[in-house]
Amino acid sequence: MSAPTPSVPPAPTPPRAGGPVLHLRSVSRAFGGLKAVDDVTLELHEGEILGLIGPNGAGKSTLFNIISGVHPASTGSVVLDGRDITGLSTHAITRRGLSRTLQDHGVFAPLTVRANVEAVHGATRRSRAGRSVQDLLEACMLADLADTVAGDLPHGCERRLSIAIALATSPRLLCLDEPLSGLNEEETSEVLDLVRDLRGSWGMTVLFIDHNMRAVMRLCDRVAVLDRGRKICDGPPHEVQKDPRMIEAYLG
Amino acid sequence: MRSSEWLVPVGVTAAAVVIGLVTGLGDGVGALVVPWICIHALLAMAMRLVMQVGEINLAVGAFYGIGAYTAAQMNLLLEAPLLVSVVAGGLLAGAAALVFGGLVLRVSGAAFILVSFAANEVLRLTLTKTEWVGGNSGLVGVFADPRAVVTAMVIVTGVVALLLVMLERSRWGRQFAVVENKPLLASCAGINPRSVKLIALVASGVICGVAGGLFAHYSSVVAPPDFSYMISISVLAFVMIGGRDHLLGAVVGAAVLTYLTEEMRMFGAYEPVIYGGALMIAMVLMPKGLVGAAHDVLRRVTDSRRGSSSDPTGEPSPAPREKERAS
Amino acid sequence: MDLFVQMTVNGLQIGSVYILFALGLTLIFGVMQVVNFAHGALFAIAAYTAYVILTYGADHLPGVPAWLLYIGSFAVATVLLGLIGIALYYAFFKRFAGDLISTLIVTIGFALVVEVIVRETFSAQPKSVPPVVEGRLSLLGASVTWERVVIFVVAIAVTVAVAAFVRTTMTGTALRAVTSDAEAAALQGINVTRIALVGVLLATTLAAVAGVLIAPATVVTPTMGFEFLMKGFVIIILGGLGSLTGAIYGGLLVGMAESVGTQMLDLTTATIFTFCVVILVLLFRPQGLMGHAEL
Ligand SMILES: Nc1ncnc2c1ncn2[C@@H]1O[C@H](COP(=O)(O)OP(=O)(O)OP(=O)(O)O)[C@@H](O)[C@H]1O
Ligand SMILES: [Mg+2]
Repeated sequence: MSAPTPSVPPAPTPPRAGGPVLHLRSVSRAFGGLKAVDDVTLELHEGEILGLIGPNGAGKSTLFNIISGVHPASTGSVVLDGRDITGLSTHAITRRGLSRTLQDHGVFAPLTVRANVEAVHGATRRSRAGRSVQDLLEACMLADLADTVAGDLPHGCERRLSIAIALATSPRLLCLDEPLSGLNEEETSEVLDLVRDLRGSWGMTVLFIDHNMRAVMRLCDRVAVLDRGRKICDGPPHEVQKDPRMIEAYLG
Repeated sequence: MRSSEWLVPVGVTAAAVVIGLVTGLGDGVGALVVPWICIHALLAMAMRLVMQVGEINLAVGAFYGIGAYTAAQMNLLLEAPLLVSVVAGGLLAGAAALVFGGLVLRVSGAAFILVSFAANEVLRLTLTKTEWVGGNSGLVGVFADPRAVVTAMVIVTGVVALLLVMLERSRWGRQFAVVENKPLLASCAGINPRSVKLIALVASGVICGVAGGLFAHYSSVVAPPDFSYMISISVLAFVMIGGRDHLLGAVVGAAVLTYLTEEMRMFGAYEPVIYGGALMIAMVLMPKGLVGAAHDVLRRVTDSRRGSSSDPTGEPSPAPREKERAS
Repeated sequence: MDLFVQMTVNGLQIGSVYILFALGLTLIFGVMQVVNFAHGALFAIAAYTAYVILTYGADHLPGVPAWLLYIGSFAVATVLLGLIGIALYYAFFKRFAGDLISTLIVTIGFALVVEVIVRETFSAQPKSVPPVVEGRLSLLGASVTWERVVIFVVAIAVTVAVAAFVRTTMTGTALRAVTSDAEAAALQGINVTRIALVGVLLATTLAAVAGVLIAPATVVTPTMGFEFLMKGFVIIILGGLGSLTGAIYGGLLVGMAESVGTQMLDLTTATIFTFCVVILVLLFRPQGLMGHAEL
């Protein structure tokens, strides 16, 4: 699903191009007494790559879980493309065009690469109307490995397969949870190229979590920093890098 | 699907159907066991179908009972022909599964096991209280030509087996596998695990109902005790002892255990001991069941003959279920 | 009014035994994720233990008072079931830790085998157990046998003792920690294996007490285990799987529903009615009354 070029001028409030694809309004989530996500407000615009960073346990995955409906938010709301998706179940949210990868369980090991993508591609009307399985495999540089069993793939390919699976749902917004963890230099740059490519040629909007700070700063248009559940800063990479709050979060 | 891939399942099924017809319509021990093997195999395949989406349905006996009572009433009240009654039994059982699943599938795992077990007993109790279907004594006098019934049983079992092989290899079969092993991945992929489970449960209910309809015509009597929790548990035993990873396992488990109990019948009512003991022993010694064990042995033999033991343990690799976490 | 009191008294009495039975089931599930079909079989073994000891005493030991034999039955059944529980734990539960299907299957197998052994030893005939205490108590116009009063009092006492154990002792706290999250408990240095064994022994003790307690008030049959199992399942689903408080509320609710239902209609219809109520509850609270929402 490629991005339609906006024919109307953007709404006055957001200064950046395009309306917000995703809008989090004061989202919080508590586990018992622990506020894993605390009053986070965030906007994500058409065609943007937003990085989300923060120390371990900052609440990044929890925020993803809220966005994708895995956990309900305790308070606040999530708006996708102008529609409130708070409280919808995961599969319903996926069918509205938000797709995420899972940190460790992104592929189904016993099936082949092609069967993995096919199982997802065939699942919904939305995905069948989107790009073909072959297109997806080619975009993710997996066409040559189509008949390999997913469990036998090297790390980098497995990661790209999990992205291909997420893309098979024909999303407007792609959320990647630590897609670089455990990858070597070469595999890392393959995944980064893939994400850039998706944004460049498909106009995909991407929300990107990773601990690889250098990669995030190079890839993303904008970076938001979470610390102990709170968003402490948000801006272009070069500004965030110099922000004292962010330095403090990582050192202290 | 390439046509060569169908050679094995179609060939095996055709051979089994021919053997079933010859022995089942003869007058040796086959005439006694073949009908029961068919009923049990149908139920076992139905049980396995729900296990393929990761749930254990101990209400198999209830759907079987609904099918049997429906078919019996069709025969008694409307004098409907065999196949019409059986199909009606299947449809009503499927409808019951739809209602049950719609209400209960919001729970899964242990809770689903417990509710389905209780549901089975509740249906049996309801039957004993319903005078319209004969109460405690059930319905008597379902009439059909025995040879026609046995023929129908064998053929229906073969057809259902082939349909299930098709299902397993289809898009749906893949979705089942994902839902069973990675429910979270499934929902992230836009698959609604609950509706996939509901579909499997309804299909399973239809198969149970058909088995029940055939049973009613075969035994000519249906009564509440035929549909107690014991039947659901026995069917679970068939699947586990045959091997849950293969469709063939369900059929083999049903055939072996049915034959064994028939042979042991002269020693008294030890059926539960056979199932119970076999279950405990099998889970410890042969967790993949008869077919799984045979499969492993075959692999080891072919591997050593080829001299290429790339995989020293010879274990096929359906990865053990790991706990799926979203973070 | 009399009828109302009578129904309440009956409901409390039935419910108190259900609570004991369900506590054992939910405990094992909470600690080890085992759907324990063997629980009914253990309960039946306890009831038969009481039957054997009390009938033997009545026939051969005229000097020994029935209450002494009854207390003896509790002791024997508790030890016997404890040994079986330990055997089950080491043979199966430990081996299949966390594997819902395998443990389900082996406990079903165990229950089937026990049922046949019991039937072959004692025949399928229902056995009635000699009474332990006689007479009736009149209470606000309702009338109950002293037998049932004793059952109620003992059941409540044991329930309170179990509640006190899990709330106040170190072991009990560890038990609750394992129930809510075994992995986290292990990380905090709790010996999960030991706690699981404690859970098993607690559960078998509860089965022993429930079985011996109910024996003189009812008839014992080889299938009584499965019959109670179904009620136990309904109760723990209603209360929330793994929740001890839930088992107590669930047991009381089901006991009351059965008492009212039996008074108005009959036991079978009451059972069907109770089940429908449980399905309704699940529609609105899939995790049961006291269960945690699954995350
Ligand atoms: N299901 C849960 N139950 C209880 N606490 C949870 C749960 N999920 C997360 N938490 C807690 O919430 C906090 C945030 O966790 P989260 O996984 O969101 O962090 P993260 O930023 O993704 O960390 P990492 O970089 O290590 O992946 C942690 O303290 C964690 O222990
Ligand atoms: Mg994380």
